[in-house]
Order: sequence, then structure tokens, then C-alpha cells
Amino acid sequence: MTVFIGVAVLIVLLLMEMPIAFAMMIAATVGLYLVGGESFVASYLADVYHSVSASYVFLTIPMYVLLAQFMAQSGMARDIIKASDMWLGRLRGGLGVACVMASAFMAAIIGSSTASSATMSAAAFPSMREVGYDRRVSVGIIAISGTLAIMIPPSIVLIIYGILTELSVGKLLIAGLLPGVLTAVGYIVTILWIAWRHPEKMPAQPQFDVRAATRALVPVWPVLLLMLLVVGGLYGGAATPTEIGAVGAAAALVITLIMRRMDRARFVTAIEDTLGTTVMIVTIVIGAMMFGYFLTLTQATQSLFDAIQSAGMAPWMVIAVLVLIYLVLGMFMDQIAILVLTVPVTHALITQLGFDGIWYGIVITKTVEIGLVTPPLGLNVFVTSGVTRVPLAECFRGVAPFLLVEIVVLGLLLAFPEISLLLPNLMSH
Amino acid sequence: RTLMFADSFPLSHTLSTDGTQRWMKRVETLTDGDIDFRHFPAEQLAKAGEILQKIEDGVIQAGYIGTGYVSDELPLNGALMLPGEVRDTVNASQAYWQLLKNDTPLRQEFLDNGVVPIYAVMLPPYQLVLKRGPVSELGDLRGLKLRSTGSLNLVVQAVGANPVSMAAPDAYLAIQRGTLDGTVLPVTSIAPYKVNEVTKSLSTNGRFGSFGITVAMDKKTYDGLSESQRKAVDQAGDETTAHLAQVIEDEVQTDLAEFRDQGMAVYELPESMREALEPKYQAAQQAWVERMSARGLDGQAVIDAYESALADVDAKR
Amino acid sequence: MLERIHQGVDITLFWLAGIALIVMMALVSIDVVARYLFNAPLTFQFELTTNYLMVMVATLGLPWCLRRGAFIKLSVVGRFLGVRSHNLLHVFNALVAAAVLVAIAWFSGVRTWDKFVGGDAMFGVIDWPVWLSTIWVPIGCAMLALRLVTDALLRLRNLDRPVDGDDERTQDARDIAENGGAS
Ligand code: NA
Ligand code: NA
Repeated sequence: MTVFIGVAVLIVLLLMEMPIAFAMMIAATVGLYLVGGESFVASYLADVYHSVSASYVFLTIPMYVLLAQFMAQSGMARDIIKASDMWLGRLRGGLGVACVMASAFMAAIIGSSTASSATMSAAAFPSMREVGYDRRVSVGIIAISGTLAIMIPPSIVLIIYGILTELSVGKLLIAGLLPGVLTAVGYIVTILWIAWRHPEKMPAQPQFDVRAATRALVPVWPVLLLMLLVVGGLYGGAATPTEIGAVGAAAALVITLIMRRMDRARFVTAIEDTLGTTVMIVTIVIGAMMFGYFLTLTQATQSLFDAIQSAGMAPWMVIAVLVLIYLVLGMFMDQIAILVLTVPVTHALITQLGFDGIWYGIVITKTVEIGLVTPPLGLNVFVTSGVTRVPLAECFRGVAPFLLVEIVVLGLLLAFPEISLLLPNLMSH
Repeated sequence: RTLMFADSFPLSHTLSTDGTQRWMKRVETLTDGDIDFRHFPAEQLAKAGEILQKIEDGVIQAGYIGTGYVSDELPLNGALMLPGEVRDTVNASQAYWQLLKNDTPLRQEFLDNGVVPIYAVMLPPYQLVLKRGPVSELGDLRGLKLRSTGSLNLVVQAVGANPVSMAAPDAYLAIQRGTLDGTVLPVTSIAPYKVNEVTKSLSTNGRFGSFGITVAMDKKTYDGLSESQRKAVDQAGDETTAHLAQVIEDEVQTDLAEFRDQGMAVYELPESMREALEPKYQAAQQAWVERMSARGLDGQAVIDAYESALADVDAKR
Repeated sequence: MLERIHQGVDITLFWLAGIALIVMMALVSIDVVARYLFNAPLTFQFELTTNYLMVMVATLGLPWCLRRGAFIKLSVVGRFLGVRSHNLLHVFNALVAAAVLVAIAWFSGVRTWDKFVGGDAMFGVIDWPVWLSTIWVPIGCAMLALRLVTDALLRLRNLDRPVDGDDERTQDARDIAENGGAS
């Protein structure tokens, strides 16, 4: 009963246009009070904010946002988008395709999809608007492309999953590669399809000029230098992803200073936008954590899975129901909170039924990707909206066409475990 | 009555199956179900470092307390984690548990925070888990980048290596990619983080520190139990200390055998290196004692009490 | 006058957060470079960053970020309401949110006070005082609550002015699109 009151309060507040972070905090406070009275409220309100924000891993977010902000403020990112547009622009939807490919490339550097979305939002959105891309289509492409970061290795989600299930993290990460590439191809197909159906939404550049295109590559050197630093740093093993974010941001700042592209106003804007995005994500995670503690205390999630276990369903039905539950939970809850709360239970359940844990990890990661872009709580869309300042509702509508391809890919992953297991199996022989 | 219990371990973890879960089951059995538990595993209610606070706040009645996470609330209990102190799990756990059961400053710290210690074990000592082969002298450690945390950084630095702080989940990738040259971990913590997949050698007789695993109950709840219920809780605690320490020790042996089978070099640090390490351990302990006395706490007395408790336990075995 | 002081405090806090952000970037970068080039890491960096700077970044910018629209919401009922009732709804929302933030500030403030009085310190490379790590939460949340209440009162006096929302955001997005990040 309590759980329904808490969820109802949350939904009503969201409909009343209460900021999402506050809505979750308020609903959690009401719920905690109903579960345990004032002492529960006092305890969680005193601790959760600090406990979420005092985190080294969280530092990854402001650092990658700052890196992207410095790039964007100095016009560097626009240079690269311009150059790729010169090459791909004659293709209808070419810049959109370039954005997906850039995101896939970034995904090989970044393990957090919100960080990836933030970077691409700052870098790609202005250029897409400049060449006349439809606003809604632009934010849709950016938000959905960001989710690639948690499927293509490295991935914070898969690492957490590996720790929760005690499965090989290395195998899990490798397992994400093919599904990630498959997903990227799906996005590209969707973009080309939209471009074909609605040419006015993604205007093509009139002509292709090899010399102009080659010349457009020249101003790209700072970006290439940064990418070399970031990719080289990560794969060469110079530092952790978090550290690379900081070094990348510092390098971006130095490069823009050398290029004399940074002034006081741009620097202030970069700091403002970075702090704004950080505060937005931190407060939403805090709200989600509070609400998650409330849900845990009501034992709602536990009862749900107990019910499944005792119903005696066919194995594939269990998987289907679980995936459905993850998709529904993914609409309302923070993705990491969902993982932490449910994976220990569901992983035990599905391995008992004889399914492969690594394959299940990929399937769960896919539902996480989807959850990141579905309303009302879609962190990637929030980030994209926050950075581009396009209204949230419009961002969600922009993502909608891609949800179809997401469901198709999810279906493929479910039907053909080989897509996920081919590479890890090759590895162990 | 039903008590709410929180820990941070996944349900399949040894510290859960043979620790917290086993203790709860024993209490339920011994009290004929008068006391039962609602178990919240895997940080579902609070992060590992906040469980003590949640007991103090009355959200839960009992839970897991990792002494390394609460150095602000249980500073003296950090003594057992110092390098040099813990040689093996079974004896160290018994000695620590004797100190916590009796009227000592270590027990008093728990009581001051409104909780009663119920059982306690020490993890096996931290070992060198390296991407390179075995080391044979102190100089081999110079400049190695090792993942470590908190006060462990002090000893890592003292032996000439460079401590790198990062979340445990990051260690795997960091070692695989060469960001790190290795890490210091208790043997039983290597497999859960898959570190054995990306490292080549593991020392067995290092004493780079340890970690205290304790379970505590809200004092008011504990005092409110009937005489026989308290006895049951205590008995279950004694049993769990002994059982869990032995299970961990057995797991150390199984893990070592498994790592050997996987081709890892599992080796003893040579005598000369152990002698070179000893003063480093001593220096780390001395530094800790000094920092405790700066806060008006007698750290040396705790170390001495532990040494004598350990001597008693050694004598009995 | 009061409003100018209030705004000055918000901006000062924001800049403290900004400085913490830049210091983190610099510290982490220096740590990496020092570790790999000179084998001499900054051992205090991790603890300082995690327990202090990161908390400052996550809290002190709160009131200023409210102004910049960092707290996103769904636009649902706005289109069914008149300007006045829409404004009243947002006044109500701001006051309820302020109440929860005051509660967070209060309870985390009490916690901070306990840690301060108890002299709690985390054992690390040095003894890190706990209260200096937690104090930013009550400060940030209290100032955000104050900002929410101030804005609500301002809104009450201008009930006929359209609610900031899609219109303004559209304008902002257009600005970004037109002016880009830079030349
Ligand atoms: Na990635
Ligand atoms: Na969602």
C-alpha cells in the first residue's frame, strides 16, 4: 500500500511540473515517513546528498562535460563537425550519421552514457542547427547516440554488473562490442530512413568539393590531438577514465588558450554550463537514490521477483517478463539504482533457469540503454535537454523513432545469444 | 520480534553466506523464531560506510560494519588493520573478538556509538598482486603503481611504491591496460574483482594490513532482549566468528590452489625482503600511534592488548 | 538592498564551486602527470577531491543553477492552465521543494554539527575533518531553499507574467544555434 502512495505522489508531482529531482526527493520523503516515521526521514535526508556527491567516480561527469565545454566554447567541436559534414554532407542525413559515428568513437573512450551525451550535445547540436537540421531530430540523434557509451567497451554499467554477479568483467566488456556496433548500425539506418522520408528535416549540402573538404580538415588538428590524448591515454593505459577526463579538460583549456580562442566570457560560460549539468545529474541521482531506498524498505522489488519465482513459468516467459519489468522500471528509476537493487536477485533466478549470465548482462544493458531515453525519467534525454536547452518533451519526441530500432535490437539480442557470446567465447578458447 | 538487518555483500558472497546470513539463521534457530530478520543485502539500504549511522538513527537494528569505512567513528579499531598486525585470519579474528567481547577501549568505541559488537573477523592480510612476476627485494617495488585505499596508501608509499586511489571496480581495467602495475588485496578479494585474470604473481606472506569485518546490534534493542535471547545472540556471534574465520582461511587455500592452476606465480617473499619490510610495518604503526595520541587516544595500548590477546590465542591452539 | 546581498552570496557560492571544479581538474591532471613522468603522485589528491571538492561542486552551485534552469521538469499541465493559475502552481511547487530542501539542510546540518563537536576525522593520508566535508550540503540546500522562496514571492507579485518555460528555452536554443559556441 505504502509503495503505491509513494509512486502516486511522484507521478502527481511530475504532472504538476515539479522539477524531477525535487519530485523524487519529496515523494521519497513522504514514503520514508510512512514506512518508518520521522527517524527514517531524518536519517536519509541527513546522509544521501553527501553520500552521492562525495564520489570519485562521479567526478567523471563534470570532467568530461568540462572537456566538451572547452571544445565547444573554442569552436573546436564545430570545426570537426564542419569537416565531417564536408565529407558526409552530400549524403542526406550525413551529419546525423557522422554524429552516430563520432558517438560510437567517443563510446570507445567513455563508459558513461550521460557523459557521452553531454559531450556530443555541446559539440554537435549547434552545428546540426547551423546546417538546417530539424531541432527535434537533432536532439533525438544526440540523445540516442549517447547510449552507445555503455554498450561499447568500456562500460561502467557492465563493470557494475560484473561485480554484482561475480562474472568476468573482461568477457562482459568484450561481449558488448558486437551488440554496440549492431546498435550503431540500427541508429544509422533509422537516420537514413528519416532523411529519406522527411528530406526537409535533414538538408544535404549541395555539392562536394574535395579541395574544400580537405582544407576543412586543417583546423581539426587540435581535436585530433585531444582524441589522440584521450584514446591513447585510455588504451595505452596512462590513466583511468576519470583521470583522462580531467587531463583532457586541462589539455583542451591549454590548447584553446594557445589558439587564442578562449576569453573570459567563454570561460565563464564553460564553467556555468558544466556546473549546471553536474548539479542537474547529481540532484536527480540523489532523488533516485532516496526513492530507491524507500522502494527497498517497502520490499516492493523483492516481492515482485518472489512472485515471479513462485508462479512456475516457462523459462523464456520469465526472461520476457523480466525484460518487461526492466523496461518499465527503466522509465521511472535511475538505471544504476535499478541494477544494484535487482541484478543480484534476477541473475540468480535466470542462471537457475539455465541461461547464460554474460548474455543476460548484455540484455540488461540494452534495457538500461532504453531506460536512459524513455520518459519520464530518461537521464540521457535530460542531459541533452539541459545542454541544448531544447524543451524536455521535444527531446523525448525526437528520440521516439529510435525506440523502435532499440526494441528490434533487443529482440535480436534475445533471440540470438550468439551476437553477445561470440567474442567472449572466442576469447576463452 | 523482527529485526531489520543491512549489509553490503551480494547474497552469494562468503561474508554473507557464512557470515551475516548464517548468524541470522542461528539466532532464529536458537530463539525458536522469537527473533527473526528482514535482511537487506548488497547496500540496498545504505552504503557500507553508512550502516553504523543507520543503526544509530534507528532505521535498522543490526548490520555489518567494516572498520575501515568508519575510521571517524571507530578510530581505535583501525589498529587491527595496520600493516604487520594480522598474519592469518583465524588467530587474528579470535584475538580481535576477545578484545571486542571484553571490557576494552575497542568495545567501548562500539558502545559509545550506541551499538554492541556481535561478531568479528579479520580478513587475510593484504598481499602484492602484480602484473609482473614475483618480487624478491624492496627495490623491486620502487615506482610500481598499486591500487590501494585510505590508510593502506601510507604503507604502499613507505615501501617505495606509488599508491593509486580508485574504486575497486576500476582495478580490473586499470591493471589490464597497464594504468596500474597491480594492487594490494586480501587473497579472498582477488577472485571477486577478477584481478587474477590480469595479473601474474601473488605473494602469500606479506603483512601489508587487514580489514575488520564486524556485525553490531543497536544497544537499546540488544538490552531490550530477554536474558535467553541475548544468550542466543551472543552464542550465534561466537559461533559465527569461529566458523567464518575458518571458512575464510579455507577459501584462502582454495583460491591459492586455483590461482596456481591458472598459471599465476604464487610465492613467498624471501627472508631478506621480509626483514627489510619489518621496519616499514613498524614505522606505519608508530605513525598511527602518534596520530591517535594527537587526538587524545591511546593507540599503543590497543596494539599491546591485541598482541597479548594474540599470544593467548596462539598458546591455546 | 537585501536582494543584492542575496544575489551576491549566490554568485560567491557559485564561484567557490567553479574554483573547486578547476582545482579538481588541475589536481587530477597534476597527479597523473606527476605519477607517470616523475613517479611522485599527489597522495592527498583522491581524498581531497572525493570528500571535499566534489561535494562543493555538487552543492554550492545549487542556487545559481536554479536561475539557469538546471532543474528540469516535464511540461504537462501548463498548456491547460491560464497564466495566473500556472504561476500559482509554480509558487506552490517552489514552496514545497523549499520545504524538503530546508529539511535536508536541517538534518544534514545537525549531522555536521555532531561531527564538528565530536571532532570526527577520517583516517587517510592525513586526518581529514568530517564536518568540513559535510557542511557544504546544508549551506547549498539552505541557499537553494531561500532562492526558491524569494523567486516564489517575486512570482506572486507578478502573476500575470508568463511562466518561464518553453518560450524562453526556445529562444535560448535559437541563440545557441545562431551564435554557436564561438566563431
Ligand atoms: Na563505452
Ligand atoms: Na527512462
